[in-house]
This record gives sequence, structure tokens and C-alpha cells, in this order.
Amino acid sequence: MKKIILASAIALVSATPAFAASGNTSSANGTATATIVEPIVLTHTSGAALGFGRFTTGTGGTVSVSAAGVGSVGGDVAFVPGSTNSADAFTVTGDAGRSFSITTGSGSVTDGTNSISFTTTPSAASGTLTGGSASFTVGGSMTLTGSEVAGAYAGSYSATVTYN
Amino acid sequence: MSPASRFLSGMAVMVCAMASLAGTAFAAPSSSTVSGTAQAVILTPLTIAPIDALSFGQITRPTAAGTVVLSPSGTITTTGGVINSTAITQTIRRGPGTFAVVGEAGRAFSVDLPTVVILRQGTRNMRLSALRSNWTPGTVFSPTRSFALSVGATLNVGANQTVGTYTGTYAVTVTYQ
Repeated sequence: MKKIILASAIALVSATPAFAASGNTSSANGTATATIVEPIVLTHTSGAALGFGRFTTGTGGTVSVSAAGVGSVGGDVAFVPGSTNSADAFTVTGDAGRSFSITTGSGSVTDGTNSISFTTTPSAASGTLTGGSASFTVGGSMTLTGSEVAGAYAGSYSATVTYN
Repeated sequence: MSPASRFLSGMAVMVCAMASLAGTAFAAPSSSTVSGTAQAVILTPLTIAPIDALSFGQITRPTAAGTVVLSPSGTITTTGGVINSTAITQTIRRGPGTFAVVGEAGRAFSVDLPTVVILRQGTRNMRLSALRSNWTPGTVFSPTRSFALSVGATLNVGANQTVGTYTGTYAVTVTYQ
């Protein structure tokens, strides 16, 4: 009887390591990664402005400034001698090589009492941060009724850049 | 009969066979032979192999701390300062970590993941927490013996986290149940 008990014990002991052999569990290492990139930053170029110039409205019309800064008039509007026009300018910095979209809004200028609205057009709808920076300009257009009060008007509009 | 109980009954038969052999040694005078039955269950070895990295992709540097949660199915959600940081074009793969797990059809297994993994870029680091997978308790291998394991986690991004690529490794262990 003694031998039988011993045999049983051996069978049990030897069975346990067999069950927990190397094939019973397996491990592998995975790689985890995350990349932080520079945020996109839009900066208004100091001193730049969307300049519609000096003009008379006559019976009304339009004043436009291209994104290259060239002014033009329509209708009865006329630039006065010595008037100059300018496009607005911005710089963009961020992740090198990444592209972005540009949107610019409409705005209004005011002399403190009266206001005139205008629309804007960026030089491009999108750009690429070559070497981590880019720039663009903004032109605009203003419609005049001919009833505007003479004076110096100033205002603002919004420009937004977004990573693609 | 489950594989486990099948294994146990096989073990019992083995013990009996040994016992009867021992008995035979004592019962020498007259010869008597019977056939015993033997049974063994060989399981497909459990293996796991990595396929895709757990990648959070590109995230813009936030000014305030936040978390990016990447689910095992690949869904991205954000909290805190990184709320708008993930919605940019990805030039590298963004997705869960994937592994090919192979084992015995019908057999259940468990998956062990670390609780925290540190991703490093030089001396800078970011912490991964809440690692989780598409494995659920009771998951068994399909007749094809394979299980596509996907691993997600929560990435903790600091305020003004230094730009660059952070990497780390994490161990995944699968075990037969």
C-alpha cells in the first residue's frame, strides 16, 4: 500500500509542472508613443493695416484692396490724390511642414459715431509652415451708399488659422 | 466536458494506471493482463505577438494640462487643456496597440496590463494610465484559435508639455484560465 500512495503522490506532483509549462502563459512588449507638436500661433504684423485709403463717396460705390495691397474703386467712389492703400499682414508659426487653413471675418470701421462695414479676403485659403513659419496678407472690400459722414474711420476684424 | 475537467479526468486515469501497475508487481504468481486507458490533452501553446504600437499620434502642445483617452477601439476623447489638441492631421498612425494572441479554441484566458507606463523623450516624460483592452472576462479563443487584442490607455499631458516624440514600452501577459 505504501508504494501505491507514493506513486499517486509522484503522479500529482509531476502533473502540476506539466500544466504550468511555458505554453500556459505568454508575454510581449508593446510600444507606446505620443508626439507633441508646436501649437499654431497667429501674429498680426506690427504696423500693418488694411488701408482702404482716402476717397470721396459721391453717390456711392465700392472700395476694394487686393491681398497684394492694390486699391480699386467702383461706382461713384474716387480716391483723392495722394491716397495710398495697403493690405494687412500676419505671420504664422507652428509645427514645421504642417499645413493650415486661413479664415478672415468681416468687420466694421467707425469714426466714433458712424460705422461702415467691410469684408475681408486672405491671400490664400491655406498655407504650409515651411520651416515652422508662414505669412499671409489680407485685402478687403467696402460698399458705400454715398451718405457716409466724412471723417477718419478705424476698426477691426478677426483672422483665424487652424491646423489641418 | 470542459478542457479543464477533461485534463483532470486524464490525470485520474493516469494515477489509476500507475496504481494497477504497482499492484501487478506484487501479484506475481499467476499472470493477468488488462488494458488501461490513457488520456492526454495537449493544448495549443499560448502566444502573444505585438503588431501595432499604441500611438496617440500628434497632439498640439496645450497651455493647460489635460488627458487624451484612446479607447481599445481607437476612439479619441479629450479632457482639460488638450480639448482641441488632437484635431489635427495625423502624419503617423494613431490607434490602439494591437497584438495577435493565439491559443486553444474554446479555452478562456486572461490578459494582464500594467497600470502605469512612462513615455520618455530624453529627460521629459508623460504618463500613461488606465490601460485597458478589448478583452473581457470569459473571453475564449474562437475556432480559428486567434484573438485580436487591442489596447488603449489614457495619456496625461502636462501644461506646456515639451514638444517631441515620447515613447515607452509596456508588457502584456496572457494566461490560460
